[in-house]
Amino acid sequence: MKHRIVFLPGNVETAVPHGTLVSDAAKQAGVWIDSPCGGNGTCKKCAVLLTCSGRTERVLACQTRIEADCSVSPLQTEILRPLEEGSARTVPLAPYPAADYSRELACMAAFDLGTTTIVCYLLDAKSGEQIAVGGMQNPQSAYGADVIARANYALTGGQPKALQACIIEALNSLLLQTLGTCNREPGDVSLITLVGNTVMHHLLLGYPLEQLVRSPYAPYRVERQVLPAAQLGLCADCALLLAPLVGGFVGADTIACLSATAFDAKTEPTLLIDIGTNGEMALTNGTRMVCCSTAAGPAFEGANISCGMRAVSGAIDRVWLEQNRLRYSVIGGGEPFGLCGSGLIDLCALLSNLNVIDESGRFNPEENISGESGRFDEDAPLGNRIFTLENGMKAFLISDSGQRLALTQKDVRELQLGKAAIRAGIEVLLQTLSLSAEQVRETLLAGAFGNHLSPQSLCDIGLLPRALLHGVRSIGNAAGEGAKLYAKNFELFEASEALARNTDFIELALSHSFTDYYVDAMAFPREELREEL
Amino acid sequence: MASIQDISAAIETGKVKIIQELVLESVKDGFDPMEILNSGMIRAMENIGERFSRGEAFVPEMLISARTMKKGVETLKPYLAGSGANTLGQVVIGTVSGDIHDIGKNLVAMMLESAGFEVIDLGIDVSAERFIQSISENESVRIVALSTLLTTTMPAMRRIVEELNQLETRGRFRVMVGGAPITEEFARSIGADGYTADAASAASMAKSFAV
Repeated sequence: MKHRIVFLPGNVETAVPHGTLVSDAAKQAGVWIDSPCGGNGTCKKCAVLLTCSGRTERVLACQTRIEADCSVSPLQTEILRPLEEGSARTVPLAPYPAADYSRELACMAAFDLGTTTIVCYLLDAKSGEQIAVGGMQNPQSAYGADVIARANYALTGGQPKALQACIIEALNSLLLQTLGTCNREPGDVSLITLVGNTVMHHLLLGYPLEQLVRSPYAPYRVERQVLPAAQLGLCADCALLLAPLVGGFVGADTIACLSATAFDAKTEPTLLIDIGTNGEMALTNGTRMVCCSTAAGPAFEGANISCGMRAVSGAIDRVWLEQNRLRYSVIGGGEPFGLCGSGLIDLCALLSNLNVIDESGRFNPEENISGESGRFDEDAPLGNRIFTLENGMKAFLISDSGQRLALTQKDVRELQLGKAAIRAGIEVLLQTLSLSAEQVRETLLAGAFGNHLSPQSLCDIGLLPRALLHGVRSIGNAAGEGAKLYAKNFELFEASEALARNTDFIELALSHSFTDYYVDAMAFPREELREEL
Repeated sequence: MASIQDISAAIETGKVKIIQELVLESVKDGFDPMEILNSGMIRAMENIGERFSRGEAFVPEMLISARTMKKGVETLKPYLAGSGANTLGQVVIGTVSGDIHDIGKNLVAMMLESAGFEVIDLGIDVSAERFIQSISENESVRIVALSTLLTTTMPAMRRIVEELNQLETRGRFRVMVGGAPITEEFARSIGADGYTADAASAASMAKSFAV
């Protein structure tokens, strides 16, 4: 017996035998579903909405078998949240002069090519106004979650061009899809701009990667470029503007953030952090700009966290205490399904502040530990929610209504690795410019989830020095904003070259103090002990 | 009065702020410095290593404990002089060429030093030539230890081990490898003598090779 299965929003249809996994049906239909754990049911990244006979359920595609005709839609994603008001700089509309903007529906496409996510913005060529935006997961994830794994695949996987083909296909498909939402076609695209990290940039252009993945991690080519888009295989016949790179681990996406925030015009000490898998950051003292990249890992994107998920519907995005009770908000409402980066940071901050997690990051053994099953009592002290998992590991029960959600000891350790890497990067940059955290006037948080992160929680877990607290400002997806600005104003694109060349890259692995800062930053801050450190 | 158990507990829980005081107190109370080192500190790191192997402890604890241990060893060092430390021979250690990450390598170096080896740390981005040169310059090298963090530099590790295996002097030292992407299987396939998953077990293995 076969069942009919429809994948939304594209209405892609296929028929599969009774009992087929949703993930296998998706593969058959050519629909891509993220599954970094390889179908073990542990990472929860393949969560989808499954609708059968009028009933909709949230399920894991890799664990759910199809037993009737049904439709599958992706969880509503928040990656496209608009920038907060006032974050973007304004530039006059003066795009690349050698392009043709005469068509009635002429538009410009700006891509932010991220390791995990690709976003495409469409701007009206005559007004510069944004007319559409589309996003998708980067399908290269199938070849590895991080840039090193992908570079390694390209070098040793036997198909060096597979990743290039994969990304070009994805860019085309996203462009067509986004054009479709505003009734435009590829012929209307007059200009494309693209920003991405160095590995994404090199994979897109098919550049050699050997020297990029071994010390001294030097890019093949760093300069900005103007290329015919069709030459790369893109479906629009126009110019493609590629922003410049700084070095091996700081790419055009960071430069785009710097352009979008007019970082080179800052006269006071300013810090910019793009919190993501690669955790790039830049610091200026008003005259000199330095930058670095930290291996923060994917914890903030929900990966490697047992109950982690991306910031999509069903994710707990904020956690707080109200009259001694644990409270949280769920994206899209309803029962929680997992914890996204901001929820993870809030929860760990809260547990550390209440000493349920001790300074070293251990669940405090002095707290009452309930039996194996864990006890869920709204009014009990939070320490009572610590229980022992079957494998002997301690865990904190977040919610027991609907699906059981717990934060394990290992989850806390993953958070510690990520936050320590970013904090150590900040400390090394401050040291390089002989600045103290107190002197920094403004801290700009970029990144798709930068808007949701609580500055207080970031300081409470020690990801940011507490002295930065009052100057923290979330600026949203500044890399995407930069890509749009490059489309609108060619002079800004031209100036990005100088910005890239005037920003000094600091290799953290070569910094003698990095390890000390890194280990220091593993701990959760305790104010009374601060002075002794 | 501080006991050896207190020192052990302080290292296991990463109490870097009190370790110095505990060590000085226990020396004043008449404990043998070698006993403090072996039963207090190294034992504690071994415990963490075992917990790490069982999946109960994680990298942050290893690092926090190692730093506590480092501070403890520094405090204890003046009292260890002449009591027979560093008798197990020399270890040449380094991060392989193409890789500049050394947090794990430094952790292993520290454990080996505490275990009684004289550690010759060649640092990062170390070529086969530099390993070989160091082996020829140092008569009592018993262990050569190679580290890498990146999957992309695993081939470099393979090449270095191949070159080491062709040395005439290969019989007098053992080759140990480690690092995040390394597995027992990979270690065997490239012709290394040993692999361990963590710094504490690396020290125990090195000791077993040296005696």
